[in-house]
Amino acid sequence: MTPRLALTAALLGAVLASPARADDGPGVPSTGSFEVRVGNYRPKIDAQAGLTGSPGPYQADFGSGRPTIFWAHGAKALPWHAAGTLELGLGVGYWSAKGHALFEVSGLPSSDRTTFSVVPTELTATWRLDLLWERLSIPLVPYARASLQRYNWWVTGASGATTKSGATNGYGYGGGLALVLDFLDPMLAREQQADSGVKHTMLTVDLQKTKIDDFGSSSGKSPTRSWDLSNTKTDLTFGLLFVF
Amino acid sequence: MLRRALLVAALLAPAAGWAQTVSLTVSPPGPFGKAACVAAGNANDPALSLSWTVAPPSGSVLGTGWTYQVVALTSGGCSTAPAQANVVNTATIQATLPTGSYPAGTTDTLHLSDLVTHSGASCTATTDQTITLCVQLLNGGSVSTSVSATVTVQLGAPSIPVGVGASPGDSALNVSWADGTDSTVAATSYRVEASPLLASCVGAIPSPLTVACLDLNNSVTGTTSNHSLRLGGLTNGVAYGVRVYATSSGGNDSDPSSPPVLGTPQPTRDFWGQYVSQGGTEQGGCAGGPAGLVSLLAVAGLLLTFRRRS
Repeated sequence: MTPRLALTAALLGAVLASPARADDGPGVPSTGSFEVRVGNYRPKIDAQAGLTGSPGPYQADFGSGRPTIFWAHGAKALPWHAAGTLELGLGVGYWSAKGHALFEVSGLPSSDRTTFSVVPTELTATWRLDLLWERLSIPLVPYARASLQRYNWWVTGASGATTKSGATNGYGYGGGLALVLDFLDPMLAREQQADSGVKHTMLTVDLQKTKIDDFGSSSGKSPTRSWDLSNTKTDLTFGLLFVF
Repeated sequence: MLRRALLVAALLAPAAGWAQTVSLTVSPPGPFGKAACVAAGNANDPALSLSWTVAPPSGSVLGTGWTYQVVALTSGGCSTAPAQANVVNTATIQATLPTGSYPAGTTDTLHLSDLVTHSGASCTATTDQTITLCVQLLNGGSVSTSVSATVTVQLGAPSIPVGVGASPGDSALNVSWADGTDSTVAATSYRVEASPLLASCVGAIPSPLTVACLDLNNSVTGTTSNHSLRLGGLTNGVAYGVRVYATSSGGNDSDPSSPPVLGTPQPTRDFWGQYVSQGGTEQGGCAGGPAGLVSLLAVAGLLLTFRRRS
């Protein structure tokens, strides 16, 4: 299920980010975008109420690191362009933590390996205030974003086989700032648009607050409540955005 | 471009005539190890399939009177008439072939023991034996042309692995080692063998552990081309003596690492097991998932609708 979902999201993302016509000129509304981002992620599993012992299971197995998470995101601009561009998009990512299984008796790390992997997917609505660049030539584009997220995860044991898998849903919100690189070489930017349909290329800094706990069930009293895969810190990612 | 190249090749091919490639293929190609170097009739004697193309000199016509012979040598070349002892097999070419063609894809089947016997190679030597295999095309007893290949009988063994370590895992031992330096024969794979200790030794395990303490009849083995292996299929709480063999490309095993290394598998918890053991209540699966997935796909469909209209 997980690979199929990831493939579906990736394909839809690629389809949505269709290139614009080569004769689109400055000021013509964008038709979509494609973005790749990287950041660091550490799930908030150990913060779940009711867990016993210290350190928590994530810390015990994987330590205190924050492995890198990768995202790819495609979006389609809606046919509305007032103070900015509104896009609906799909994203898919990958993240994995590697650690050592613990001895049952002593609780000490063994030489057996264990991994926890996540393929997060997201549905996003992004509002990008691109008028600063389009009308005032200030190469900064602030944006706000809200998302529905689904984290598909699996755990492997020492043999490499999956011992447990599942999916946890949630949401995210936040925003960021994009630096339009076109101003560095406007001529090159125009050639790029004519050749590939890419209207703008931007560097992005993205801040998102996520809540990935099946919409609050982790705070309930039910014995089947979900764990919390929200990032222990605000998601800070850096990316490269291509606007078509 | 490709069509043009093919056209040129088609035009040039007839003119090239005897310049066509000749070759001899031996399958399996070896090298063969000590266990395969046995007398004829032994079940371990490997059968070798030979397949060759060989051309007579320009202007010659193959037919009655032409023969080919398979020759095995440990020294000398294929272009001269060999001693009769070196001739492994002969056959007469019956068909008359037109000028410009040659018997392509001719085959023969031999055994490694045939090559060893006729070449004068030795299975008891301490160094590798390289046998040159020739297919000679004869006309009236003279070697007209030939093609050759080599077959190696590998008689040496790789170095004994050193620095063996065995860390406990869940129903497994994580074994690691390094290559020794007592042989120049390269190791291409390794065999790890874990043998439970005999009951007579369990109460008083000698240090260092001895082979006499190992129950070799109940050993568990695994192979790898790396320098580490997680050997599963063991029993938690049972003490094992671990030995590692290095194996050459010809299949020759080194002596086992010595002394045996002691290891006892212990139960472990992976991340999920640890989470559950500490009271985690996540159930896994898609208990809360289908609704989220459906909503994701629904919005994706909506986006596609927008795309079609724009």
